[in-house]
Amino acid sequence: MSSVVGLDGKPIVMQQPDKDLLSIQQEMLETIDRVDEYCKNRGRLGGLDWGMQSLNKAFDGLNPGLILVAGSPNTGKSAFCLQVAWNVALANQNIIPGERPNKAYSLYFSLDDNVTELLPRIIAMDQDIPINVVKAPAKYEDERPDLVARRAAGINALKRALPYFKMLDSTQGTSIEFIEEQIRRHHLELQSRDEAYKLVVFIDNFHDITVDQISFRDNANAKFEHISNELSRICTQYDIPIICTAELRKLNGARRPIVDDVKESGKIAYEAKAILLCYNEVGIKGESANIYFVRAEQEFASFKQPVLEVKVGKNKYSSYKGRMFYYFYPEKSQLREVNEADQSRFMQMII
Amino acid sequence: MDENKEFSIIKDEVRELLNKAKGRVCNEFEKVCPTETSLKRVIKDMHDIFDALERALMDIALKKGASK
Repeated sequence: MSSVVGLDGKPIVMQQPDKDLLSIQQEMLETIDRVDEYCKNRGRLGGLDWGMQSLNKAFDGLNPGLILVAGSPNTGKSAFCLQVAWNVALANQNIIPGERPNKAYSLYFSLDDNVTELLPRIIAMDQDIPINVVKAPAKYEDERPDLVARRAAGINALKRALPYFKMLDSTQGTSIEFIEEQIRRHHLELQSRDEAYKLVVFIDNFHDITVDQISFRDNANAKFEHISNELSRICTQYDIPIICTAELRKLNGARRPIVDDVKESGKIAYEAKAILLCYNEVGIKGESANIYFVRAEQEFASFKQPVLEVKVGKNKYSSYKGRMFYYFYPEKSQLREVNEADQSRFMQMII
Repeated sequence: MDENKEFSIIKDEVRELLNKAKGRVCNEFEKVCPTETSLKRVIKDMHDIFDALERALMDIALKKGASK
């Protein structure tokens, strides 16, 4: 193991504590060693790979804690969440010694759409084909056999991802108790197979989570406060990241959202280690939007194409508080990171 | 009819006309642009030109409405 060198160039000899420690002091020593080991084990990346360079840079890798992805309806936040879940599963299939000591298993709870809606979106995104081809292949068999073949490849890709990716929908459960039970079961089973497994949980969305064991009558605030506490506790207990989409209060006018706009924001915004605020100007302003991109394909060329803006509103993982942009291809439920020129052009337009 | 509503109908109609025109311009661009990058560049310029045209048309519509 390489030794750490001090400012004077000499190696730092690690302090050896007194052998006659009191038991209460021994406890603290164990804590120091455990935390030291934990931090070293984060690897060079600093955590799991998000599967997107912009997010790795913004958060120093993917690390445990509650992460909120908030945005108005039809902004693209579910597409973003789904793509991150898929990318995380694909990017962390193996451990890399010294670089990344863990491998990921993405567990996706869709409390909004059911799996018949969502699985086609993953195949479309993965294979770069329209969602409609995945949903109704018979219609395209004669005209576009190439797309139908890619659809089949997409189904195979999903099957190959069995060890890393799973999706549950609202027909199986929506309560926080159900979510915790599933997390516990998956965590145990994965750990018993391989300790390098790290569970990464996705929930779409926070405001659809219900509570079975406590009745809150009509007190939505108390309910969401309870759910926020539970999610935060689960993150700590299992040492996992939970990425959760959330709705916004109705915004007055077409402005960019801020942290306070998250619906029932108090507790959840406090518990979250990071808050990502989504905005899609084309989705709101249509052809009057200034932040858009163009596509060369005939059917899309004459319309401005949406760009998903993701502003980091809160970040406890690093000092990054910037804004990221993604070209959004809604018919394929696909997001691609923008090039550097567009990143700075869009930034200038907002300022 | 409410003036705001009337203006919003005009706006939608103008936008629809402009979108149709954009589609035709794109068809022409596609015939002459040698690469996808150059095609995208001229389409971007086309959107800027049409945005300016739309704003100018809206200004005229607003002024006409005010002088009624």
